[in-house]
Formats: sequence, structure tokens, C-alpha cells
Amino acid sequence: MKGVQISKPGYDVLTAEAINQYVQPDTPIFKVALTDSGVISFISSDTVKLVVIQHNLGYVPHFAVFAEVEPSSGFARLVNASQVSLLSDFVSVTAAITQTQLAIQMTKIGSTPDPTGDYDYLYQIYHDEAEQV
Amino acid sequence: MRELKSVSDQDVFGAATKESLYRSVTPSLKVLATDTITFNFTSSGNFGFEVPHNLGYIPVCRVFWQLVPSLPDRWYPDSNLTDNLDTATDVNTGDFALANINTTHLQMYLAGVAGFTYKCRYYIFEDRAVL
Repeated sequence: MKGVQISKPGYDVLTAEAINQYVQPDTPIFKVALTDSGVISFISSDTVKLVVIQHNLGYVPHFAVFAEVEPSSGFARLVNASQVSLLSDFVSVTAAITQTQLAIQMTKIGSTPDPTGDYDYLYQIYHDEAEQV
Repeated sequence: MRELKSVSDQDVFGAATKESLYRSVTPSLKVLATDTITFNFTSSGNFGFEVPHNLGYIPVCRVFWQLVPSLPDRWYPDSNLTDNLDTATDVNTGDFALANINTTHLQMYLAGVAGFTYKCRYYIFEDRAVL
């Protein structure tokens, strides 16, 4: 075994499984480059809201986006794949990333329910590359 | 040290952050809980379940779904529509798998078809979704 391993408290560093190690020499760890949160405010006449975050990493990184689909609900939906909108949702949310920007788009689903309100969103952009070009 | 901080063939001192396995000055994700759950649908419909984490804040999490029983190596991330992937064994057109998280629970919902088995693999990290 080469390199250094760091185990979680209470685990033997020589025998602990990967999940109980903070660092393993042969396991990449996602490293946070940017993280922040914000609020998207919808008024009744809004149909689409777009938030663009500049990351300027120069490559497509891994990322994670969470957003409320009901105002002030406290539940954040994972929106990193084809977005699903349930009839009970107030809005749908999609996210996409390029070599320079992360875009989060919130769209009104229909006439009801009224989407008026504040929607929290959170995101993390990682140093780790999503695709090797 | 080379094996600790950088990937193969990268200088540990000169490697870019994205090429490093670990950097002491960069926050990195630590897995708190993970599991794979199997769902046998005896009748068609929607099924929801929760995993408590009780961290008191919204942590980073990821969810992967095995939505096409005939393709067990195909895992779909997070919240997904599943239309037209495999009409023979996919969940119904217009149905879904999705995940929500708050400060105490990870919630997951899956629409399935009677007679089929689906799987879900989740990861909850100790790290806050926002610092």
C-alpha cells in the first residue's frame, strides 16, 4: 500500500472500508470549487426565471443543484437530471452547466397553483471534471 | 505523497486542483450514509419513502435509480423522467423518479409497474449543500 489514508474517528485506518475513510490514495474526492444559495422570487405574471452563475473553470465540472418547487417548503429537489414536475408542484426547475456557466431555470407549470412566492436554491460546483475533452 | 494528492503522472505540487485526489485547503465531500434499496412492485403506482439524516441542515446528496429492470447496469441520477427509455419494461410513460431533501430527511418517490423490480442507490454527504 502506497500513499496515506485517513479514517473517520473510531475506525482503524488499516482496516476501515472506503466509506469510513476520509482520504484514500486511489479514490478521487469531489472538491468544492463554488457553493452558494439564493432566492428566486416569482410574481403571478412570471413564467420563467433564470439564474446564471459564472464559474469560468474552462471545462465542464460536476455540479449539484437543489431547489424548492413549492415556495418556502423547506424541501429542496435534486435537479441534476431530466426534471420532473408533479401536478402538485408550483414550478419546475432545470439546471445545465457549460465550461463557464451554471444556469438554473425555474418555469411556471400551469395556471394553478399560483407560483407567487420565494423559492430557495442551493448549488455546488466541483473542481472535478465531468467530461474529459 | 504523490499518490495522496494527485492522480497518476501529475506532479503533486504542480497539479491543478481538478487533477488532485485531495487538497487540504479545498472542501471535499464525505459520505455519511449510503444504501441500495430494492422495490418489488406488486401493483402499479407511486411509492414514496424517506431516509432520516437529522443533520439539521440540507446536506449534499445524490440519488441513482435503476429504472429499467431489463437494463440493470443503467442508473439514472437524481430526479428523472423515464419516458420512452424501454417501453417494454420501463415505468409508465409520464411517470417519474424523484428526490427531495430537507434538514432532516431525504425523500424519494418512484412510479413503478406491477411485476417489476426497481432499485435506488442514495448517498448522503456530511457536507452542507451550501457553506
